Amino acid sequence: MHELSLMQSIFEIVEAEMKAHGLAHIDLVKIKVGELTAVEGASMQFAFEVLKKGTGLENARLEIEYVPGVAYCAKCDLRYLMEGYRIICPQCGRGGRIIAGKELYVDSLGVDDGEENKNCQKCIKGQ
Amino acid sequence: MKKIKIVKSVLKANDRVSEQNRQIFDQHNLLVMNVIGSPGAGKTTLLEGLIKRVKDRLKIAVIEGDIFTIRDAKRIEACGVDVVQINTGGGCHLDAVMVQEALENLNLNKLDLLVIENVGNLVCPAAFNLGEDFKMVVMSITEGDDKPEKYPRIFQESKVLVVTKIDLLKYNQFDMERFLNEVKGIQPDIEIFKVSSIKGEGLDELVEWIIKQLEVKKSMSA
Ligand SMILES: [Zn+2]
Repeated sequence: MHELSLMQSIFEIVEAEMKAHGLAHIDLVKIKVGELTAVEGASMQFAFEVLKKGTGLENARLEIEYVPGVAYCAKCDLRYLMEGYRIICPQCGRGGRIIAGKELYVDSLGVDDGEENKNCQKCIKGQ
Repeated sequence: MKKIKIVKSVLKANDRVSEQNRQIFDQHNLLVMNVIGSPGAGKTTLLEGLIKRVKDRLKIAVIEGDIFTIRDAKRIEACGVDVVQINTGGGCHLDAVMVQEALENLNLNKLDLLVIENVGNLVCPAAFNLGEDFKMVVMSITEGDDKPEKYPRIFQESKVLVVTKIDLLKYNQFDMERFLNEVKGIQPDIEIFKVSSIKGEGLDELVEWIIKQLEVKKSMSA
C-alpha cells in the first residue's frame, strides 16, 4: 500500500505547481510509471479518488502512462525490452543493465479551457 | 485542454534525504544494511544469530522498524547492542526521514555496522531508499519458491539474498533450483546465502561476507 504515500507526494507536487501557476483547480494529472516500480495502477487511481476530495483536484482525473522495462547488454551492445523483471540478455544470457522502467514522476497537468468543447460545437454546427 | 509540463520525480523528497543519510554514513565509515522481508521470514532471528557472532568483532547498532510494537527491539537489545525503535504507526515501510531522525539517538562515531530492520513487507520497502549501502532480502523456504515471481522488485534491488529456515527443507515442497533460477533471471549478480538461524548453519559465511563489505567500504574511502 505504498501507493497511498506515493499519491500524497504526487498531491504535494501538484499543489505546489498549481500555486506556482496560480491555478485554483485542474482537470488532469498525468503521471509516468515505470513497469519495474511495482506500483499498482488500480491502487493509484483509488488513492487519487480518496485524496482529491475537497482539494483543487476534486474534478480532475488521473492518467497513468506506463514505461516498459528496457535493459542494455554491453557485451552485445543490445537494447532489449525486458520480459517482466527478467534482466537476462536474450542474445548472450548474461545480466544487462536497466535503462528504463524505473520512472515515477508527475509528467504534466491539464486545465480545461473549453477548447475541445468549442471544437465540438463547430463539428456539430458543421454537420 | 491546456497542458502544463512538470516532470517532477515523485520520490524526490525521499531521495534527497536518503542521499543526505548516505553522506552521513560515508563520513563515519559506517556500513549500513537495509534488511527487508515478509512477516515471519525470520529477520529478527537471523539478526540475533548474526549479532552474537559479530559483536566482538564489529560495533553494531540496529534500527528496528515496526508498525506498532517494540517486541523485536527488545529481542535485539537482549543481544547487547544499541537499538533505536521506529514505529511507523501503520506505515508499511521506513522512509529516509524516519531513519535520519533515528540517527540522532546513535553515536555514529563508535559504530562499524548499522542494521536497519525494515517493516515486514516485500513490496513497499523496495521503493524507498534509506541511504543504505545495500538491501538484504530475507526469505524463508516456508514462504514458497514462487516469491521472486510475485515480488520481483525486491530481488532486483537487493545485493544479497538470505534464504532462511533451510533446516525445514525436508518438510516443505520448496524447489530450490527453480527458485534460484528465477532469482538469477531477475538479478544475476545477487549474493545468496542459505541459512538456518536456529541451527547456526550458514551464518559464519554470511558474517564473513558482511565484514568483507565493511573492509571494502573502508578501503575505498581511505
Ligand atoms: Zn548480451
